[in-house]
Amino acid sequence: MNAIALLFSQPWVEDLGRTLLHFLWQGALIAAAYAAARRMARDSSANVRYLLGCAALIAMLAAPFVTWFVRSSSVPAASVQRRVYPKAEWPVTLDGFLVPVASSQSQSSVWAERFLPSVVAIWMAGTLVFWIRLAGAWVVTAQMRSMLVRRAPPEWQSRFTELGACIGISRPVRLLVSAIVQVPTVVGCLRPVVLIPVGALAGLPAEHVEALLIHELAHIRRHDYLVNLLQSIAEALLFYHPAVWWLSKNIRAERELCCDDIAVAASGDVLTYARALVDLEGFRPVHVAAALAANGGSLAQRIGRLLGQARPATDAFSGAGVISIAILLVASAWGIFAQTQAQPKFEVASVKPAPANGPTTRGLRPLSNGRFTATNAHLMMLIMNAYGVQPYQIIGDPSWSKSDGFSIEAKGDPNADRTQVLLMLRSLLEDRFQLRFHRETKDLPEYVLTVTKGGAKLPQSKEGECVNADPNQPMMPGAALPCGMPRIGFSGTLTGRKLSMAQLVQTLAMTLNRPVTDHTGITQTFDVDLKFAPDEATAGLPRPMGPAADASDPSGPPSILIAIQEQLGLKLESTKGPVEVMVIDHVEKPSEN
Amino acid sequence: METPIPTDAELDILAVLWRLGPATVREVHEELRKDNGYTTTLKQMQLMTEKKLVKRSERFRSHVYEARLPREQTQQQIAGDLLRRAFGGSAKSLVLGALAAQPASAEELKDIREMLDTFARQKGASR
Repeated sequence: MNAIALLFSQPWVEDLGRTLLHFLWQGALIAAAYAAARRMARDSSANVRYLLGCAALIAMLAAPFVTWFVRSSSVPAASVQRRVYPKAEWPVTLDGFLVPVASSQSQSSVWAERFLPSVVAIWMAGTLVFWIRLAGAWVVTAQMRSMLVRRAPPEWQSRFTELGACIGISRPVRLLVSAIVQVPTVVGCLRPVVLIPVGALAGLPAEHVEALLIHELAHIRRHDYLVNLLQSIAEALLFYHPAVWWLSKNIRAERELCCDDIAVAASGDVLTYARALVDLEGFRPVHVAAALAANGGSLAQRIGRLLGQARPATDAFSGAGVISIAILLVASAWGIFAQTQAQPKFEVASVKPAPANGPTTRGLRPLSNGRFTATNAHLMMLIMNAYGVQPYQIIGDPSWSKSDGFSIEAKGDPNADRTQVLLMLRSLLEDRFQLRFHRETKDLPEYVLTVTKGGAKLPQSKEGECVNADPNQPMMPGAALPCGMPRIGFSGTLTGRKLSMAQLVQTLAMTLNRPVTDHTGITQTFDVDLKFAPDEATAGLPRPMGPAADASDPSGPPSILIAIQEQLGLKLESTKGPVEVMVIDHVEKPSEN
Repeated sequence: METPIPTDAELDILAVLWRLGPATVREVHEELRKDNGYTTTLKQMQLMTEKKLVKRSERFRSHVYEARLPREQTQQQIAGDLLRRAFGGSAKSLVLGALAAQPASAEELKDIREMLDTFARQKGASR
């Protein structure tokens, strides 16, 4: 179960889900266009309509791939790069001010995260079923060529080759007598063969047999088997869209008409071919159910068309029906996307510059009842929390981004949880601060965390040493140690109980103000009591208020890199790597409201 | 059920039918490659039908004979049968047959034949 959960939390799952949903309206549009084109071409030859159908099929197959490429190139990883800093869900407390770190959320709402994986799961199950059917069918058709078949009498084989040359087939095609098939059948695409049922060569009039054989040879000349295979693939991948099945049925129907035309043209006589078809149909074993079924007589239509009668409506889906279904699907798809793309907003928000004589402590709190407050918070803090980025990932911030503080009181939907409140903060920044940005990838200095040769010194957590705290509530300094929440002291301590490596890495990244990648492979939780001396490496820590411990003092704690090595048995190697950064294009101080 | 014991000649014919599956007399005769004539083979097979060694059915206006005694089926044949039963339906969509999947009813065939006859008369064709 865990593996499945892991699989479905991958970023591509969301993209795949969206692509699949997008096809709902794309398929409907293509089907509507094909219906219109087919209507306009109703007096043209069957081949024209067949080619239109093939074009529509190719468009339907291509649409998801086009969607995928357009999406992946326009939005460079809408979700913050998970490789660099793992998803931190627990607040990290820094003595002095609270910086709950946002979990990296993509631009879409949490609703999409819950819904899309199930869409993808259902699609995967369905497409698997269809691929298995296809594989089984492939094996069966391969058997049809080899089991219970024998070569046709040589006089028939040579006549068959002559007929083939007549309609333009250069490769020799084998004619086989089969005990399995009921009607003449073409099997295979690379080296096709024609199977003819036992007794047909002897029992049917020769010119009927020839007419039927020409029909089959026409299929071979037109490479119909390849198109049919493409149809089967489309049906397997896009099984959930009725337009795909409708189009496929249409293509198959037109294809038979095309080969009828070729057979009639080659034999010169409509009546011979028509009688051949009727003879063939008469010799099929009639199932009781079929005898009662009001199939609409596709054979009758086929014959009628050959005899030059008016072409009746071919299927239940008239043009109007297709267009109305298309509108319905487009509307539903749009409804789905209107929901996923909207970023939640606060209903009421007041943003003011922090009063000059107000508290100097900076803090912000997203609360779980849809409320958000900030005291003397500067822009960098707001951006960090709203978008889940670290300071080194923000480029192009104005001079006042770390100095000017703001007081914010905002209220949104009371059912909104902490994550959605942070999304509302994004809307607030974009509205009130006119924040515009784009994402780029830059090569920045980063760290890689590995285990030293001596092994990691991360003691296992003992029971009862920490308490489970609610992540939605802000942490109070001085409270009992919470589980799974690393705590940084400005003077040079890092403590935590029942920490995961992801949480430790996140805290180190904040402390060092650089991305940290976890290459330790440690999966169990552990306790940490790290003591170090802040220096230029710990660029993420605010300057301490009092006299700092000196890293060069031999009796004091070592610098953080050495401390990690000696006390935790882990090593931080400095490299450069691609980091996703937010480049601020525009931001301004909010006007009074 | 009493199993009739085939003679040597009948065994030869049965062997051909096991190998080819259902076949016409002409096909069996050509496979046998014996010196006796076609009519001999025909008589033998008619006898075998009365003895219930083979089954005769009419397909496409010709007689098709099937062996009634099953040879021990090979693994391949059993597997083939199973597969065909499981995937036969979907196999139909992979191959290109001359006729649509749904057979026409006897009613429809009658109507179509009438339609063709009318057409023939109108065109003055001799068929």
